[in-house]
This record gives sequence, C-alpha cells and structure tokens, in this order.
Amino acid sequence: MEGLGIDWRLLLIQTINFLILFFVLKKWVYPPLIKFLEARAQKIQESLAASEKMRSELKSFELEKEKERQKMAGEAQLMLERVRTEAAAEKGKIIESAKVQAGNIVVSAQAQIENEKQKTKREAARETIDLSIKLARKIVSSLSEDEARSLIDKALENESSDYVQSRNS
Amino acid sequence: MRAPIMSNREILSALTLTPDEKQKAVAKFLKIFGGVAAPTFRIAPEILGGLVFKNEDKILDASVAEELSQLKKHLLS
Repeated sequence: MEGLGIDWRLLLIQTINFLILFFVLKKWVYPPLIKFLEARAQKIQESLAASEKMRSELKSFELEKEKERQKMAGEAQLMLERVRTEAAAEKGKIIESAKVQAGNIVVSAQAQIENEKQKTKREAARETIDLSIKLARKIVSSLSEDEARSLIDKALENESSDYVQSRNS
Repeated sequence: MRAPIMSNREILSALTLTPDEKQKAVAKFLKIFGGVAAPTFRIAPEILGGLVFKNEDKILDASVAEELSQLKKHLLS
C-alpha cells in the first residue's frame, strides 16, 4: 500500500471521521433537515394546490360572469328589437291615420267645391231665368194693341188652359 | 122675379175689351161657372195680357202674367 502512496493510518482515521460524521449527521442533522424539507415541500404543495383551486374558481367565476353577460346582452338585444318593432308599428299606424285623415280632408274639400259649383250654377240659372222673365214681361208690356188683342182672343178660344183653381190655392 | 145678385163675379183684362170680346168673355164665363148673373169687367194691367175669370172663390187664370209665372216655376224646378 505504501507503494501506491496510500497511508493506511490516515485512511483509517479519515474513515473513522467519516463514519463519526455520518453517524452524527444521520442521528441529529438529517432527520430534522429532512423533516424540515418535507414540511416545506408539503407547504409548497399545499400552496400550489390552493393556488390551482383559486385559479380554477376564478376561471369558473369568469365563465359564469361571461355567461351572465351574454345572457343580459341577449335580453337587451331582444328588448331593443321589441321596442324597434313596436316603434315601427306605431309609426306605421300614425302614418296610416294621417293618410286617412288627409284623404278625408281631400274628399271633404272636393265635396265642398262641388257643392259650391252647383250652388253657383243654380244661382246663375236662377238669375238668368229671372232676367228672362223680366225681359218677357217688358216685351209683353210694350206690345201693340193688335198684339194685345190677339192674346185676349187666345184666352177666349183656348180651352186646354181652362183650369179652374180655388182662390186660396 | 129677379135673379139673385152674385158678387165677386168678374173678368179682368189688361186693356178695355171691345163689345165683341165682352160678349165672348161672358159666354165663356157662364159656360165655365154657370149661373145667370153677368160678371163685371175690370182693367188690371198687372195681368199683362189675356184674361182672368173670377167667380167667388174660383179663378180661371188665362193671363200672360200667370203663364210667365208657370214658366218660371217650371224652369226653376
């Protein structure tokens, strides 16, 4: 062994040192250290699990919130559509009513114009007739005696006009 | 015996009738209304022409004024 350069006494001491160290560490250092490391690992694991759980809950909450938001957006859209439909229907009703009223006004105005026309025509006809009768009376008043006597002869001879009336009729 | 005098028997004309016209008028009057009392004659320029025979409440209007009045009614109807 001395030929290899190994001192067996040194080696023995080092081995004993190593064993003593090993024994001390195993007995008094490693257990608490391992316990500490295990506890720490456990804590880390628990934290990770809690974190994962929270993340999962948050995701679930986010999904729920998104669902709720979409539902409300859908309801708002439906309400908007309903309001638009009702407004369009009301607008249509108002326009229709206005058209009917306008039509009635036009018909009424046309009837009024026609009435006025007929009234004017009747008045013109009446005036023309009055004028004609006045003219006829004037002409008859200015007849010659012979012409007047021929009217008397006609009254005497004409039996188709012999219609006797009561004085009060 | 005198015949009873009937009032309101008259013949109206626009101008004075000749005797011949009067005779014919009286004959027509009696033919229409009967009786024996002769009607009286009266000038009424408002009748314009022709004759009007009146007997009590009855009238036979053969005047020009009446014809014009009837014409006006007909035209206005």
